[in-house]
Amino acid sequence: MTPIEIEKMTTNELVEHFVAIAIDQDNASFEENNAKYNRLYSQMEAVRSELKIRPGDQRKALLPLLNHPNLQVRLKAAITTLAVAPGPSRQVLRTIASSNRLPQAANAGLILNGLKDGSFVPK
Amino acid sequence: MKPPLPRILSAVPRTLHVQLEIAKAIRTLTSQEVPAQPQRSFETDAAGEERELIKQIVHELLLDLRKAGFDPDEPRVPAGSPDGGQWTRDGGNGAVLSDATPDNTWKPGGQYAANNPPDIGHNQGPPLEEPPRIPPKPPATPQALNNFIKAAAYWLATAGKGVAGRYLRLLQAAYWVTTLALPYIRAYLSPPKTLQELQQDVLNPQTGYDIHHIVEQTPARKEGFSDDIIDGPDNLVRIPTLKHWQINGRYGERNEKYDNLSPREYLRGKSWEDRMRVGKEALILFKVLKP
Repeated sequence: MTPIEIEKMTTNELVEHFVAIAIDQDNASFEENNAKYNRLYSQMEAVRSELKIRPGDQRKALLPLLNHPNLQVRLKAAITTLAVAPGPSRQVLRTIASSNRLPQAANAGLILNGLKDGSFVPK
Repeated sequence: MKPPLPRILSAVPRTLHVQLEIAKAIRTLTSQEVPAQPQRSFETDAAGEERELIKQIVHELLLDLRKAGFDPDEPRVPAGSPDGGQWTRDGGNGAVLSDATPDNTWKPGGQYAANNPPDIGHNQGPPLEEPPRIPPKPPATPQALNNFIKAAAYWLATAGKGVAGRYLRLLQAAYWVTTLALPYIRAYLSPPKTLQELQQDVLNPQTGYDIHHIVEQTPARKEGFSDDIIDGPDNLVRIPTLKHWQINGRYGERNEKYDNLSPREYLRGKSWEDRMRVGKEALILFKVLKP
């Protein structure tokens, strides 16, 4: 498979790629396939880094995903945008954490705990 | 691959009239309107015991659902109707949204209740997505069986009032679900307990639950912690099997909170206290342990 050259992608394409990765993560998590999930995690990290270094910190392009119908997409978008839009991102994390949908609720709660005690600082 | 969930209650003959009797007993119990029917002459002692056990499981599941804010007393498709085994959103007018099929194709990327924008789902309203389809027969492979059980439990956990009760009644109408899946689903939906309760439950093994090491045992052993502390009573809790799988899975997934390491990697070289703190936090976050 040809590796995706994310530096050549437009910002909109990166956002679409981010969504696709998150949905695949959701499936990998359901299947309890750690290796697949972690490969996808690396891919998402690459997208995050690419968005961050673009002029104006284009992670803000992920903000519309805070209303995405898929919960994993919302979760990952909220974590990624904490540094650029902490208010709405935290609100989405609180909503997910209070839901009964696991593991997303647990992951949102973990990030909120980290923000509260200072062990997680958005960069 | 994970081993199949153990088959239980297999002593009863799987004849049609025994299944019908069991379904009738469940309906009687859950409707709480009709007194229990006397046992028929064809019943064996084993069948009677099995029905009692299933009734107990269903009763406890309904209690758990009520504790969690669900309302199982909603209109439903009668179990004996031609639409039995099918889902209806309005509880009995024939508006079938999805037919039961042998293969479960439910995927977590679908439209969950909790996937809906805030204020929909999370017990605050009806879920907009379809529940997992109920195969008329047990799925052919252990993985497919486990996937169905997980999908049904996860869906029920996020379904709103009423729809959860209706779906539960459809699950009860499928004999194989009642015997193979319901104990695991019930356990998944059970409310959080105190640490003391979870530790005491270790002495009372039940189908649907696993014994869980709060501090992961394999990495702890590799790093020289003694068996006495690893398998000691302070480190053992009984938790729902499906949540055990979720927590174990999460320990291997990389996470932003742990500098992009998995919890398992993050805890390498850490003290017992650090491991215990992370382990208890996981139990709270997965709604097994009361905060």
